[in-house]
Amino acid sequence: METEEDNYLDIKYFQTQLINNDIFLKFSNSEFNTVDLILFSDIFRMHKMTTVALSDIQKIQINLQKIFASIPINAQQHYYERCNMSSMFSTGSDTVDELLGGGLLSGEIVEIFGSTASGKTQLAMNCTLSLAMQYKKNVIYIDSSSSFSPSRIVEMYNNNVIMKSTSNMTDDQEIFTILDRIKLCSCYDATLLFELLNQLSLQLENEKRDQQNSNTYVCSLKMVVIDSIGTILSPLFGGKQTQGHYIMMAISRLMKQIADSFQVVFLVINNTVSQTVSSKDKTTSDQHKNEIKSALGESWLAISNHQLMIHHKYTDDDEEKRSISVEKSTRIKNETKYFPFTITSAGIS
Amino acid sequence: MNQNLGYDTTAQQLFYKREKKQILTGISDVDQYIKEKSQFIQNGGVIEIYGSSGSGKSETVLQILIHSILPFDMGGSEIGVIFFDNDYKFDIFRLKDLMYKKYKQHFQNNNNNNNNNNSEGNCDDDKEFNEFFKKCIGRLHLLRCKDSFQFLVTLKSTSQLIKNIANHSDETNKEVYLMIIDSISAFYWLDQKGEALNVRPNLIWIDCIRKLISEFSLLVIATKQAIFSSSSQQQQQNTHHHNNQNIPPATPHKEFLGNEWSKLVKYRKCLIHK
Repeated sequence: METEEDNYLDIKYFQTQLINNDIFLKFSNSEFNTVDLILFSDIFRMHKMTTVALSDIQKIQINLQKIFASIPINAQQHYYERCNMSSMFSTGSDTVDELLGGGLLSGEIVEIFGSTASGKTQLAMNCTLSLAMQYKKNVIYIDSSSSFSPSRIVEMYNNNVIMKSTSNMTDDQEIFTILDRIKLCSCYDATLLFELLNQLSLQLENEKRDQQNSNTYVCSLKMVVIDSIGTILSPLFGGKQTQGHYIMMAISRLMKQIADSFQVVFLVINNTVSQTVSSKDKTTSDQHKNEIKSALGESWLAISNHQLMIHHKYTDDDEEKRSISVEKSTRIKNETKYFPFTITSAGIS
Repeated sequence: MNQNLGYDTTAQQLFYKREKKQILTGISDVDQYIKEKSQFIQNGGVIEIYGSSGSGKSETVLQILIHSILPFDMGGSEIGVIFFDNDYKFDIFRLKDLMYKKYKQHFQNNNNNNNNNNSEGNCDDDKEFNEFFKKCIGRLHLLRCKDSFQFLVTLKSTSQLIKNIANHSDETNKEVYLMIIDSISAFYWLDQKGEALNVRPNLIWIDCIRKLISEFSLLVIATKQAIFSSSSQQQQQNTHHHNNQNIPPATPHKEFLGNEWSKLVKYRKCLIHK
């Protein structure tokens, strides 16, 4: 279990909080060499082991608490920040916008799930194009199944422009700049995804710190698409249970943190599993048998702010019915409505 | 032990400052329990809201929150609230919507009661509502924790925060009597694997919460997600356990946070997703 890598809680990183060098040495020579031990050990025992005065230990604890504790904000301030800093992005489709109560709100995690070929990736690409074209923002597209297609983006763009401006001359330059705003990452396993997000978080952090040279890619990053999280994470489960859950939760915590502190939208695409009735309660109900759920299980459900489900009915080649509904949400409350949509060459309408 | 080193209040101050208040939640069965148990008001305790995802835990918590921050004249408790938003799911706009509904409803009721009076309190006045809303949310203090360690440290410093709020309390900023934790199970898997900590997080946060409850006779509302699915049952069930009785086996509840936690929980409301 113990890893050899540097512990970020080692007190050598917090020398200034330890009042002076003498005390630092006393702590590091005894067994209290990490921040967590200093914060949560009994102070009388600490006093005995390190011979540091009680009042100093208290001061050190308070200093360290200030660094690590999350800062309480009054809801008034939170409200102002929310009103001024967060922004709403259109998904590029009026139907989906209406469903989401206006569009994608920055800082939230939106999950889309549906069965195969129901149009999840199409919707994601539609949103990607909308952000890159309408808002001139950057998008990172994390692709696990090579399903992102730039030619489809170009097709949607062309059809959109033709529909709006009626001139059938399209400017090549513009579509190139739009495509430049979309960065693709191929990612096939969870460890890599974690690394990617971690790196992104660090980049954003650096960007926030020195805003002088804010010309880099990440500074106008507003959306991260993960297509699809189910493919990446589902191999984790099966063997040792806790390990898989740990990695999944670590990834999701990271997502939440990035989304919240940098006001980035996360659009997460998930697969479906059909719920099987376990042999124990066969007697209870049979209608559960065909129920479709999002993959990854119960713990994952706590992650996304909004969960959208795509329903897809396919009778023959000419007749396809697609509709989208809110499965679960912290804000939107029209859970029973189904919004029908179709996929055309211009995107989703 | 750590807290006893500084003498920050005299007994007299304590006696006058923290009168024992009966805090109701606005959720009928929980309120009934609180009213029945007088020792609960004296000592505070944890009320747990348990359910699978989508069963309405966060919604219930929002209801309680609104009930707590609304002023007296609208049937609220008008107290300060600390809200741990561990899942980053607290949505201020949703809160605003719900408050707006309550606000409108209140004025409509008032108008019905004395309908011959000319309705000077124009309830459609958005400006008035905004003022009212700001005043109410001034009583709410939000905390967001990114990981287990931050949660621990924050819990440890919450005592100081409550004291600070009490010292600066005024008309909008009220003393804290309620702490909401949404959700308590957020870090469960992370703790299971064990982050690079030398201490056992599970024991510490329970200890911290216990200290806070005894120090301030705080009412703590915690939501817990049913991470482990149990057999689906279709009705809502409530579990009492006073004096640390064991949980009746018939409930869908499954404890995974350990015995120490269930000792703290005085009342558990189980929600079942339909």
